[in-house]
Amino acid sequence: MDMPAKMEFLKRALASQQLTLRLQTVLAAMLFLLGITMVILSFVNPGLIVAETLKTSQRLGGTVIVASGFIPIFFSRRDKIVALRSLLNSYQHQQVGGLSPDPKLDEYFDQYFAMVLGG
Amino acid sequence: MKVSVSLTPGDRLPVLLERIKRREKYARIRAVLYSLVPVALTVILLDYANSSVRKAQNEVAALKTEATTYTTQIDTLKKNTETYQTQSQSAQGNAENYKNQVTELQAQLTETQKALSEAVSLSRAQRTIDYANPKELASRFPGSEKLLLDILDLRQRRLKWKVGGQSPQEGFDSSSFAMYILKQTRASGIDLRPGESLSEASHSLYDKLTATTKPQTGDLVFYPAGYAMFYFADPQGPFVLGMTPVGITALKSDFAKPVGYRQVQWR
Repeated sequence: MDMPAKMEFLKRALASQQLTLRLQTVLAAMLFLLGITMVILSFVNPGLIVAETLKTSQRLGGTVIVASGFIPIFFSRRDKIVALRSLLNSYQHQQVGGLSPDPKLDEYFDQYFAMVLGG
Repeated sequence: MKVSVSLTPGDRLPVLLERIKRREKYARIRAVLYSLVPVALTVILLDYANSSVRKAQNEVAALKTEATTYTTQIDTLKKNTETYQTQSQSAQGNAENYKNQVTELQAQLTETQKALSEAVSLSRAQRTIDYANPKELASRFPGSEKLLLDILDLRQRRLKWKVGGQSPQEGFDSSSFAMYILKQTRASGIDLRPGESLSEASHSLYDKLTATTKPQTGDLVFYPAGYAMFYFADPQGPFVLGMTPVGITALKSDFAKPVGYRQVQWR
């Protein structure tokens, strides 16, 4: 398989993964804001007339919401994206520099291919 | 030179890419779904907070209404208290009045008891005269007929004893009766000052009239306790006639030790 096809594949795969990561980041930011707002509002007194028990649960809930935004990011395997980005950069470097093809790169590519197919 | 040999077939790349895209799509869906849980939790919490706030607002409104009711009740109670205080003060005033009246009545009772005891002692000193024939009786006292007839006329009208009395209808005490008779029979030297009552004038009667040691018929004899009686003398002995607590009656002139005699001059 030729190098341009691999690079094109890597670009598309990266684009798709980056889109997912951006979405997760946006959702995490949104949830962070939502949660932190809830926590802050629970401390406002007497701006909001809420029972003491409700304030405690509001703080707890806000903290859970803040944390929940980051969970998908933790499980998003950003290392994979970094690896793919490195592989793509290496191919680009090889192409631009007119270097001879590095068999290690193809090996990495095959590993990734096998991992995706297997996973 | 080592030749690179890729194990990955080129025709499988689109399939692989499609799989990657599908995975990423699922990952995005999962991320959105995971995010929905905290959002739903937030919505539930906010809804709970909202319902709590509404409940609290309703309670505050109910308490306000209750407070208004209590305020109205307090105002009413304050007004009632003021009314009761006024009534209490009025009742206290009435109680004072009743107390004074009771004191006055007790004084009157004491006076009446005293008068009664005097009347009992006076009845022992009564002098019998013929009240049934006033004209015949009067003829025995030349010069004092009118005086005697006037006194007996008033006796027939059953005048009552009253301390400080001013008129025949009201009754008289001894000195005011004497003053009334003197006024009726036009005795001299007993004219009333302007605004002076009969009872007041009677108190100074002793000082107004001329003193004498030998009383004649029609003169006044003054005894202790304010008795002022008209002096008469017949063959049976001297006697005095005037108002006593038992009414107009004739008494022996020595029923008590006289304070003094006063001469009455008739016009």
